[in-house]
Amino acid sequence: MDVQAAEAIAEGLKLLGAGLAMTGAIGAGAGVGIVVGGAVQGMARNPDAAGLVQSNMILGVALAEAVAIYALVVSLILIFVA
Amino acid sequence: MKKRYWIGICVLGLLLLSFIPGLAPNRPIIQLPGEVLWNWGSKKDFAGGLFGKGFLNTQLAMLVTFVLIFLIAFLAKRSMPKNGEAPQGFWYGFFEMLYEMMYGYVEDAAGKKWAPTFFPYFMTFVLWVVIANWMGLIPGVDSIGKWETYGEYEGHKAEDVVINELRAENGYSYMEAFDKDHHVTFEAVEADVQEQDLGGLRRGIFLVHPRAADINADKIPDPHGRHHTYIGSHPDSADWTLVPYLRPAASDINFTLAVALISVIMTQFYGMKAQGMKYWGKFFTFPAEEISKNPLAILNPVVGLLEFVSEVFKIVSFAFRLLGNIFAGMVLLMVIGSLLPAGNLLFYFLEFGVGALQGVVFALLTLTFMKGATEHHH
Repeated sequence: MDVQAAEAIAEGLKLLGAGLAMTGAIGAGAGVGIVVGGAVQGMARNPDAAGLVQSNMILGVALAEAVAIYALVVSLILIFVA
Repeated sequence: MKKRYWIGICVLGLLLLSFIPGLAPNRPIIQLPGEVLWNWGSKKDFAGGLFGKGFLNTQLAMLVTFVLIFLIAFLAKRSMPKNGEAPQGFWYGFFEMLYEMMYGYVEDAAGKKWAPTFFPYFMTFVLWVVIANWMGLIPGVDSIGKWETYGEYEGHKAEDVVINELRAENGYSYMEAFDKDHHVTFEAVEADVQEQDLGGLRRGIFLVHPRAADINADKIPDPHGRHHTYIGSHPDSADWTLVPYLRPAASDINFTLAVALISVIMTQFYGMKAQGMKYWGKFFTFPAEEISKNPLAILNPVVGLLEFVSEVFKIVSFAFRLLGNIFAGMVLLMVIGSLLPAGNLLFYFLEFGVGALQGVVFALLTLTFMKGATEHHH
């Protein structure tokens, strides 16, 4: 197998790995849904506390989404750096 | 016709125009580290590679962020009323509202005693990170730059031959290859040029072999030089790409790691300031007397170690959360901009929201961790 074919296969495998790395985003979708679901229930029970619940919900969404961002960074490193 | 009909027609016209392939901007070659704008000048690594290969465009963006923040501070100072006058004007009201909101939040979260200590970090992170993120959306950032060949020449090199420059002369391509003792010039052979058309950027592969004159003049050391061939990029079909002068500062791991380190290290500092050396007792415990009361207390050292690892992970978490959001946003804008420029508008709104949110979340989390570090445990 010559060098160029090997290089092409390696490049293809890198991209495949980058695509597989994004399966970590499944957990983030579920997590964000749970956070917002709890927040909406809290707001429905107690509309006066809506402001407080909302600001904590934003924090929770950013934290839960961060795990998907870690997976995205791994994927981007595979595409652009390695 | 009414003004809003004209606006609608213009937007629709731009949308249709963006479908024409020749009018969409080219997608530049995207790389994760910042792109070098000005090389430091010497061929060897400067200070052992500590400062990289040159001045990066993300560093320039960080300096511009500092200038913007100084401008804001200057405006705030200038809008302060002199003694005895009543405060008035737009900027004073704006800064007063900002300050009251942020300080009120910090005071709610951290208590009156620690609020003055934590507030500078909170406000700094909000201002710094949010402005650094929003700067990536100003027209001209990430799109105005210089046009140059894609810097690296990746070839298969012999072990002690370092390939240094590529020049095009008289239709031939010369490569200057240095090894430890000899200065050797290699000549390019057109033979195997394969060009791939990557959206207007071409990359050709060619083979080089040593020039006959050099072989005869014994300039090429055996055993590597004489019959060796190298594979590299054709200089005529060089990859031309746009290197922007400014790039969002947070798309560089150096920036996000620096801000994360500041946040976590100052948290430990304030924890030690509040509780003295007992702060480290949170992580490293020896439950000699507690085991008699509660046998499960033997797990305390393990829990403490996990907490310590979690502190270190906070640095990684902060850095990669901010980096991932901003870098992915930048890639998204570039790619969608090259495919369907009018569709970039939606992603602009997304980037606007994400930039503000990530800055605020950074500051909020720092505040939470600092508060957690300074309060007394059971």
